[in-house]
Amino acid sequence: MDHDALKPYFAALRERTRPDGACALTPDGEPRPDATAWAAMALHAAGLAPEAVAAARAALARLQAADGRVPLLPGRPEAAWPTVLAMAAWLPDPAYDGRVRAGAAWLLGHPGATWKKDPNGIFGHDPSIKGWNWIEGTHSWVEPTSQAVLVLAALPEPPAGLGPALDEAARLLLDRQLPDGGWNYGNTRVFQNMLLPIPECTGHALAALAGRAGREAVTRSLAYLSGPDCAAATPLCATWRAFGLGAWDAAGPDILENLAVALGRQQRYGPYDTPLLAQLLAAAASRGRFADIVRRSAHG
Amino acid sequence: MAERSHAGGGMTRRQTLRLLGAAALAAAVGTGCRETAGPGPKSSVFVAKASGYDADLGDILRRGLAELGVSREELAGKRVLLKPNLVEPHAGAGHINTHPLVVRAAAEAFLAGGAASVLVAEGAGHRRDALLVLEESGLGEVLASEGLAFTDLNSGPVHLARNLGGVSKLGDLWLPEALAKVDLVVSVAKMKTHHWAGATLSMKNLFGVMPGAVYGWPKNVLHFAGIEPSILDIAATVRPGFAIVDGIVGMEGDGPIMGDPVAAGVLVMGRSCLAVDASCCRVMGIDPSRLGYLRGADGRLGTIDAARIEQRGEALAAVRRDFVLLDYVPAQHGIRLAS
Repeated sequence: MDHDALKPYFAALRERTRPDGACALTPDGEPRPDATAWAAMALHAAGLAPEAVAAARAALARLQAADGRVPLLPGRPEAAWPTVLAMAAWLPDPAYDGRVRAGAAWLLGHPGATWKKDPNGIFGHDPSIKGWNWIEGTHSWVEPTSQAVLVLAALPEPPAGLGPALDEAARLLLDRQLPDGGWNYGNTRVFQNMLLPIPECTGHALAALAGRAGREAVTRSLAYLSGPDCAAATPLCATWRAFGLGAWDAAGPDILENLAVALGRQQRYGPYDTPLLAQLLAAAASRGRFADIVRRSAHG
Repeated sequence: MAERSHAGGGMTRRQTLRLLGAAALAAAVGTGCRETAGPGPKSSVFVAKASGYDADLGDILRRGLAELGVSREELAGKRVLLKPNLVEPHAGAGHINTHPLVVRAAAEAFLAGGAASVLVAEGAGHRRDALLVLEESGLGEVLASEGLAFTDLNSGPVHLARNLGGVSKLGDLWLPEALAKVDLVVSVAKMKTHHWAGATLSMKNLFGVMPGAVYGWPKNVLHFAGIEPSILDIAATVRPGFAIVDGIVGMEGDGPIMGDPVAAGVLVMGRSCLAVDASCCRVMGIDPSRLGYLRGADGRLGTIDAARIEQRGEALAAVRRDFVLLDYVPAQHGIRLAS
């Protein structure tokens, strides 16, 4: 992909960052932590605007609660799914190791709700396996579990209990994989019907399972994600197709080019919300390697 | 699992008691949808035959608005939000979603009726890529050709609204700011059986206004709070002023996603979501009093009593098409409408 082609989109992203480091959800909107975190990740992945990245990390730090979580809104602490995104933004900078540890401790102490599997039950998956959720107190789902695995696996100092938690999360993802390949938000069979896969969920799960499952365990899912059903040039589909296949060394030029096509479709749909714009840019700048975004590097 | 937690979807005894208390409050202060319970005026529901999506749907909906007494003066200058059902689109499975041409026809009808603007908005229940939702449902193409704006209710700014239902344990509700910027919310739903709620129509469709950023994907917080109590609270708080249900091709059996298409050939509309849903049930061969959330809303958000719903357009008996109900789905047990 031509990196010059990304410049106007990075410029648009920079215009949404405020002097205090926080990033607006929309061009004329208010800041939100997921927007700030993804903006930091995208700029870091491209090696751009280190001062803006540093300011964004500091802005996220101001939002971290005493228990380690980073809530979406001050009045809704249960919506703590930005915690893992903030950790991803902090990870490359050792100055934030303490905050990363606090976030990890919160995540490890707050897995999704579980209950015993009923072998004759209406759900195909095993609800007793722990992963992570979008909202505190609810069940584990594929995308938040995958994001947590991707970030927790990159911790420079793994806390006690991390290994078993990651193993269990990987087991959850494999348990939720659909027999014909792919994942949806996190159900397999309900009553008598097997449900249908969704591209962005499949990309998340494959990205998280790289190095934790053998290729033979996900062959059908790789085929689904690289196939025509997942070829839409829409933001999350294109982003997580690249991250999912990239983790398995399968993000070819067409997969990466689709990111540019998705960016260009703002002409049709209007400016994307910042998290969508920044995810596309992060995937493009890293060439589909999420692990590179959270890795500690020279331009940390 | 997407549609209900282990906590179940029905109402507990405590919630039933809360409901009775809330009903008394509603009777006293007039909370709820625009047509209220009690010995007041009847609700009116318009039912039209439409053999396919190539029919002149705009004409049908304009006729419906006129039959229901929606005047040009009433719509003049109004900002209208159309909320279709796009819970989980998949290419080639159009019976899951409100058909794009019904959305287009609704936009045409409200604009022709004097509305200042029409916004289409949805927070898909199971999918976070709203633009992929638009593309796979076919709605994106229609929006582009008609110049209609779309807002993703899952991810935009939110505000805290007082829960006017008070039935569930949700507390006050986080709602999209987009809802606060319009004058009229129209639930443009799909006619489907549902494996947790019995049927999903204009009231259940309102789950899609609840932002995923706050309630999750799926909106698991609502499942843990109970599907039926959550429907009642959302309907009482959002208070849509109009409902349109796409039953031209509906879904029977294992809805809301995996059921089979059924060509019921109807559009159903009215000012009262509750009355519209009750009439839809009768079209589907379902007894509305057997669905917990409709029974819970009866007398509070309107009426499900056939004697108090004035049917305009087609007679229900003329368009009844019994939707398949499944023996292995508890929510669909014992809900068949007597002949």
